[in-house]
This record gives sequence, C-alpha cells and structure tokens, in this order.
Amino acid sequence: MFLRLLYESFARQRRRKLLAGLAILLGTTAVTAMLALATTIGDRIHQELAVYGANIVVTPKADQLAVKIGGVDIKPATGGAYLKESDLAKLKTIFWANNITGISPELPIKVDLSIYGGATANDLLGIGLWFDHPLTGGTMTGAPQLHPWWKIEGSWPKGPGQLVVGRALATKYNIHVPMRAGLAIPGAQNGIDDVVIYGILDSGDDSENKVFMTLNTAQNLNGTPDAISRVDISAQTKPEDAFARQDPDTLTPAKREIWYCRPYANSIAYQIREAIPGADAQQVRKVEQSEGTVLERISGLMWLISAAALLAAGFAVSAAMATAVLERRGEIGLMRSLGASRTAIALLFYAENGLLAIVAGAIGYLAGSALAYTLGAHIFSGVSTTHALNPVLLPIVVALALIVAIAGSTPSIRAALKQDPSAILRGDA
Amino acid sequence: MKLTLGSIIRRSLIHRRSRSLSALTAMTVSAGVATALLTLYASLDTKLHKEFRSFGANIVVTAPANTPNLAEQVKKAAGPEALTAPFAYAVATTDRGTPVVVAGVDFPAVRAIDSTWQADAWPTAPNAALVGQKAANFIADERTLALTFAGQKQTFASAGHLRTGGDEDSRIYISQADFAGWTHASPTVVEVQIPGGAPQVEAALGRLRAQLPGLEVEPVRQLVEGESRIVDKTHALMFGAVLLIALTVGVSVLATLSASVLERRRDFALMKALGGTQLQMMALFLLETVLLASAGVATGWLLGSAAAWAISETNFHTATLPRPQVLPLVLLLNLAIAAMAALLPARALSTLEPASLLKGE
Amino acid sequence: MAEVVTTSLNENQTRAECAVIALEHVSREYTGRGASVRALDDATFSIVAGEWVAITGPSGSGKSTLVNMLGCLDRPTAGTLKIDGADLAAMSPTELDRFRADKIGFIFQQFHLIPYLSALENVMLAQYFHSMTDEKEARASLERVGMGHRAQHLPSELSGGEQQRVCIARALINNPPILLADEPTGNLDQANQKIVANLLKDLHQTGHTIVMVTHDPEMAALAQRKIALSHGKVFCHPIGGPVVSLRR
Repeated sequence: MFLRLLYESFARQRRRKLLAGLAILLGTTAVTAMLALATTIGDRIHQELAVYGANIVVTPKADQLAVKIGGVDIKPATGGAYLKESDLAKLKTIFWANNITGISPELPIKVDLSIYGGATANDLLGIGLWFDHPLTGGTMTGAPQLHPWWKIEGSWPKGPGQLVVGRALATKYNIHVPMRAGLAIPGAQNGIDDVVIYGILDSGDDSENKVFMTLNTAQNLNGTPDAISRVDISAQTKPEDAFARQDPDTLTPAKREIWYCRPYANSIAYQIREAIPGADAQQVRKVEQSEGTVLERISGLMWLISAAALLAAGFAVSAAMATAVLERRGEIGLMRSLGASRTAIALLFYAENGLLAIVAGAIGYLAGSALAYTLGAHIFSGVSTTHALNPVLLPIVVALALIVAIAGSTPSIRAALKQDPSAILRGDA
Repeated sequence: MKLTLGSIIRRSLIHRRSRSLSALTAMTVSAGVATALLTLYASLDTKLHKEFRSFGANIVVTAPANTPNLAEQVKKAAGPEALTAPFAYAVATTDRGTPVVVAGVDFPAVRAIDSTWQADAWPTAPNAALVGQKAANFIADERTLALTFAGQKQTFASAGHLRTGGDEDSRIYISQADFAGWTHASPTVVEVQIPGGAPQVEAALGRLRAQLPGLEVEPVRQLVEGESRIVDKTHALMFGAVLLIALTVGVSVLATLSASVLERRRDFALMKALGGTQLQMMALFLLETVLLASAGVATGWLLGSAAAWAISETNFHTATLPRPQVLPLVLLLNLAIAAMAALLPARALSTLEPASLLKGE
Repeated sequence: MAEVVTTSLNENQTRAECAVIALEHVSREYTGRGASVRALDDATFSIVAGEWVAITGPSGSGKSTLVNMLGCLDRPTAGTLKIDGADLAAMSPTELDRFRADKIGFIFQQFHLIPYLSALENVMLAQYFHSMTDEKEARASLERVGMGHRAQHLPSELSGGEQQRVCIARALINNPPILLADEPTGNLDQANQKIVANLLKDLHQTGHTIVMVTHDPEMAALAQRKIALSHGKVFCHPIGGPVVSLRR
C-alpha cells in the first residue's frame, strides 16, 4: 500500500513534482558545476600561470659566480661546471615526479654566425635547448613549453644544421627564413658548419640577441657531450606555508617525512638535489610565491562562491519542498482522519521527497558536470587534464540534495502533522 | 474606515505570516546572493591585479650610464600611483678575488616592489649589505665584507643573505648612498610597477616613452599578458557562477510564489465572483510580489554587502565596502525574478475557473 | 413593492420580455480526455423578477453547471442566455466581471469569506470590486441580516450561521437584481437553517429575485416554483401558467 501511494503520488502530481524536481535539479547542477570548477581550478590556473616560466631552477653546485647585469653575462664564459643531460632521467624517479610538468635544460656557448652573401656576426651567445622532448605520458616538453610568451616565425630547430635567431639579430643582419648560413665556434679550428635558419624568435627580452639550436648541436659544437649548465623546471606545487619554510634537516624524522611528502616547491627542489649529483635546485621565489598567492586567492574565491551556490541551492530546494508539502495538507488531514499514524505519513512524504532528491540530484550531477566541462573548456583554453565526470562528486552531491530535501520539508511536514485534521479538511486552516 | 488595495494586501500578508515570511526569505536570499556576488564582481579585477603585483615590476626602464636624475624623472613620468625602484650596477671583486655584481638600491623601494625577495634582514645602517646566497659562497669574511672597485677598497657589514632563486642570488646589494660614494656611478635601471591591468600598463608605457626619449622602456611582457588573461578568465568564471546562482534562486522564488497563489486560488475565485476584474486580480498579486521583492532587496543588500565584506576579508585580506551602485541592479534583478515567478501563477489566475473552486473542487 | 408574490402575469406580456433570466436551448458541454460530456442539455426556461425559484436535482444532474451559468461564471456552449436582458455571449471577460458584480449577489454553501478580513470588510470587499466602499451602507447591510453587533469580528470568530448571514449581507450590498444561493443551508444546523430561511423569506417579501439550489425539500418548499434537473435535462418547470405561490 505504501509503495502504491508513493507511485500514485508521482503519477498524479506530475506538475507539482516537476517544480520541486526542477529546484533540486537546478540546485544540484549549480553546486556540482561550482564544485567541479573549484576542484580543478588549481590545475587550470597553474596551466595559465605557466607563462611566468619555471618555478624551480637547477644549476651545478660547483658553478662559478654569475656576473650578469640585465641578463647580459659580463664575464666571459670559461668552462665552468656542468650537469649531465643523462641525469635528467632521474627526475622521473623522485617522489613528486608526476608534478613536474616541464623540463628545459640549456647549454650556452659562444658562436660566430656568417650569413652567406652577407655579414658575419662574431661572438654571439648561442643556446642549446630541448625542442619537443618527450616527457612522461606522451606529452612534450622543452624550451617553448617553458616560455609560452616566445613567438616563433618559421619553425623550431629539429636537428643538427637547423637554427633559430632572435628578432634583434634578424633585424640587424637582415635575416629571413629560411636562409643558409655558416656556424662556427670562435677561434676553433674545426671549420664552419653549414646550417639553415628556420625561425626568428620574438621574446620581448634579451633572448632576441641569441642564436638557438638543439641541445645536441650545442654540445657537439662545444665538444662537451652530455653537458648542460642549467635546467628550468615547471612543477605543480602547494603554496608555501610556515611548515614549508622549515629546513628539513633540522626536523624530526616523522616531521621530515611529512615535509618530504608534500608538494612544496622546497621539497621538490630538495628531492631534485638528492636525485641529481652536484645539482643545486632552488625555487624561483618571484614565480613560486606569486603563483602561490594568485592560486590561493582564485581557488579560495571559487570555494566561497561554491558555498554561496550551496546556500542558494539549499534555500531553493527547501522552499520547493515546503511548498510541495503545504499544497498537500488536505491529503495529510484525510490520511490522519483515516487513522494513519504521524510516523506513517511522515515516512511517506520523506520517501517521496527522498526519491525525488536522488533522481533529480543524479540528473543534476550529470548536468552540472557537463556545464562545468563546457564552461571550463570555454573559459580556459588548452587540454583539460581532468575528466568531465568526477565520480567523487556524485555521492557528495546526491547526499547533499537528500539532506537538503529532507531538512527543507521537515518544518512543513511537522506543521502539517501538528494541525487538527478536521481543521485542514474543513479548509479553514 | 476604507478598504483599499493596499489594506487588502497588508491584511493578506499579515494573515499568511509564515508564507509571507518564506517568500520574503527567498527574496532576501536572492537579493543577498546577488549583492554579494555583484559587489565582489565589481572589485574583483582590482583585487586580482593587486595580487599579481607580487610578481614585481611590470615595466623596466634602462638608461645609459650617468643619466642625471633618472629615478626622479621616471617617478614623475610613471605617475603618483606607480612604485619605482632604481638600480645601479658595478662589478667589484670580493676578498677572494672573485668578480661579483654589486647593486646600489633604495632598500625600502626594492622591498615594496619585489615583495617575494626573502632577506634574513633588510639593511638599514650605513655600509650594510645584503648578500645573495650564491655570492656568499665566494666571500671569505662576511662580517667585514671587503670589496674592491677600480682599486677602491670598501668594507661593508653583511646584514644577512638574500634568496630569490634568480640572478639576484649572485649579487651583493648595498644602499644607493654607499654605492654612489664608493663608485660614483648613478642608477641605470629603474623597475616600475604600475597598478592595474594591461590598459594601465600600456598608458604608462606611452607616458614614459613620450617623456623620456632616448631611454629604453620595455614592459615585462609575459607578466602583463598572463595577468590580463588570468584576470579575464576568473572574471568570466565568476560571471558564469553569478548566472547559475541567480537561476537557482529564481526557481526557489518561483516555487514559493506559485505556492502562494495556489494556496489562495479560492480567495481569488471569490474576488472574481464578486466582480473583481482580471486587471485588479493581477494588480493585487503583482503589487504584493513587488512589495516582497523590494523588502527582500533592502534586507538582502545589507546581508549581501556583509557577506561580500566577509568573503573579501577571508580571501583577499582586504575589505570590500558596500556598494550602493549595485542596489538598482539588484532591485531590477529581483523584480525580474519576481515578475517571472509571478507570471506563471498570474497566468494560472487568468485561466482560473471560479465556478469549480467555489464549489469546493 | 411588497406583495408581488402572488400576482399572476399579464396575459399580454410574453414571459420572455419581463424575465430577468431567460434561457433558450442552452447547452453546456465539457470536453476533456477525448470524451465530451453534456452537463446541461437544451434547457429553455425563464425566471421573472421577484420570483423565488428552487433548483433541485440529484448530484451530477447539471445543477452546478446551471448555477455557474446563471451566476455569469460560465457561458453556454450552445443556445442563448440572457440576464436582465443582456446576452452573455456578446460580453468580453472583463465586461462579464463587471456585469456579474452588478447583477448577481452570491450566497455560497461554504460562505467563502476572506479569512483575514472582518465581517464588515468582507461586505465592503464586494463594494470595492463593484464601485467604491461605503462603510455606512456596509454596516446597514449587516444590520439587516442581524449581524451589526459582530461587524469587527473575523470569520474564524463567527459561527457557521453567522458567517452565512455575513455572506448574505455581502450578496445584498450592491442591490443586485438576482440573488443566487447555492445550497445556502447545506452547512448549517437546524437552528441556523431556520434563521437563514427566514432571512430569505424576508428578502423575497421585499421583492428580491432568488434563485436557490437546494437538496433540502423543506427549503425547496419555500420557493414559488421548482426547476428539477435530471441527467442534464430540465424536466419540470411550469411555464406559461400563472405563477403559483407555494406558500401556505
């Protein structure tokens, strides 16, 4: 009989149920969308913040003191200390390897560039870099990925004999792409290599005075195979707090373990120092700290707005629920007069509203996920690393819908049950 | 005693106290949420841009050596809101004979513009120096830090180490006055931080270039571009959220109001039987709705402004003051929601069959 | 204008001319869920001014349909219905609302008083929708039904009989030519039924036209004429003949 009543209620009061259902649906849609956005906003903003470049820099510990003013190295490069390119594979073995989203090693060398049928530029700064180097999971990394503000006219070098020059050089020596040229190490006896300039770089900084080639090309020219002098690393990190600033070597083993297993820039840098011999890894404070605050603010904002959405949805659902119950006071009065216990009636109404909440909540979850996905894709370009459906949200959202529906209908059910059934039936209640 | 539309509405609202209250609550929530979101929305750009200021300068001015009064000129051209920090550079040798870059700076200015620099202690005393963490490795005695520039030996006291993760780690920073007295060189680089987004930076660039011909004025491109993009995106996200929440609240108001009509179908039927016209019925209902909506806006604005203030305080650590400017918009929004919500039940009223209702259904 | 009750009509006048209510081949069909139901089928009769008519018939006989149309709350789907000489079919919904307020005074079985207005205000509400409120008139109307002393009470503070008397006072307030009473005593006990019956008698004596739907043979007996309905058909209404007083 209970089930029959439940069934009839849904079959007959389609319009009224529709409004309550719609309120739950919209409420859960809003909450799901906001929660889905809030949980993924960190990744998305991190992607956007990648334009600020690497947040961890690795240099050889035994390096000489750099004498740079405004990005220009004043002291001539003399040998110096190197890291090994082959050691970079060890980055995949550190605890937070999956948080490393970009690696860009570089090797600066001095070169002479002679344009065929034109001038010869001596003592230029040449840089060997990675272009489209495979990272884990099929994604590519390299200098262009870590410098998203670099704009290339033409194409990046793909192998030996291919060059890219900065815009300032191109203007000065009237270089167009593609153009043939000769490349040599100043003062070296091994002759001139034939190369083709395939691209011109616009960067808006001193890189426009440099010559770019693949890392291997630079290593071979320099006669230092496997050598790199600096690695820029982009890593997803947790914003720094007081604990992050502690020196791990002064912590107790237990605390050190916790410190080690949190994705702070400091702990990732610490792990890189452990993994690569002779390396000094430091967080780039300007990038890391600023990213941290911006990320924190934006995701904080999203969470607070999610809370507002939750509040609004809660009101919407409970108002709709209260309405649905109030409209049926007559029915409640009738059931009471037929001898139904308060518990039985309350149970019927709760079952009805609960069922409605579960069904509408589930549909709302799907709609909200879809909405968050489209909204995210629309607002944030680039591939989303997360799936459209976040299974964790489903039970949360449905449970919230259930709680709000039941809590929202409780006052009106109680009020209706408290009333004298005859008064309700007479209609003068 | 007179019976007017107003008194009927008043009596009706008071009589159905709980129902009126729930409609009022719905209206208050909708107005409150709208106020909070709009208030936040209005100040969002300013707040986010402010956060981005921790990235440091967004314009760098470079001048040839010995440009007189460079810092003052830039400061004047950049405007009163901008922060500026002049840098003078020289290459000296440490007591170990290693060449090192020494920079003469105005410490308070640098501290304001490069807020992410981590210094053990900022030097205040004369002849105090801030030593980059890498540069420190090339100094034998930091307490009597002896540096030689063009044969001139000068001793400084290290106030502490500087950590930035960038080129600064390899430098030694001393005050402008000490630097000038020792090397007789003046600043060649001025970092400028313009508050606001890309348009403000563009405007400042134009001003600087026009007023300081011959100097190199460059924006920090990735900073300016990236900042605008992130602010725009957050803005768009917020907009989507506002719409979504408004829709949800709209449905809640719809539910409450339509229930209030359904509850009073019999009253309306009776009034129709007594000769009340369609217009009078609609007026009665719409006026009641407008009354509730306006009351909701009044309380909602107060609550929403408080919420916006609280959110700002927790998230951005700055207060957002209530904005009376959002009031008309919130009122309009609330009235629109109320009108939409009232339209459905009002339509139901127009097709109302008083006959069957008065018979008791 | 008393004692019109027992006069017979002038033979030269056709009934239709002096009728306040005239139905000619009136039908009302309801369509819904594919099927159509003819609630009133080809009804032709008229009611003259000052008459007291009782409409009787079992449930589902079309009584309510007939009353709704007589009260201008509904319109025929076929045939013509004239009230006080005006054809309802020619009126717009707004004109109909206006017309109803002018011509018909309703007395309901369930009283239908607005719960948040006092007895006096409930009477004034009818004035409000008709033209303008006049407290003195409204009070006089309440005095007339013997409710003057309870003018400021809310409906919930009144007994059923008292509520019905307020309802009658409200029906009278705009001096409508027709009083339409739908089971006026259906919700009342014996004592209150007697009060209401006497009130109606009194109104009839003073020249009001009363159309009363009732189940109660005792109430029906008070009327001058009975119109009986069965299965949507009007089958008993002595037309043409002299109007017979059934009062003993």
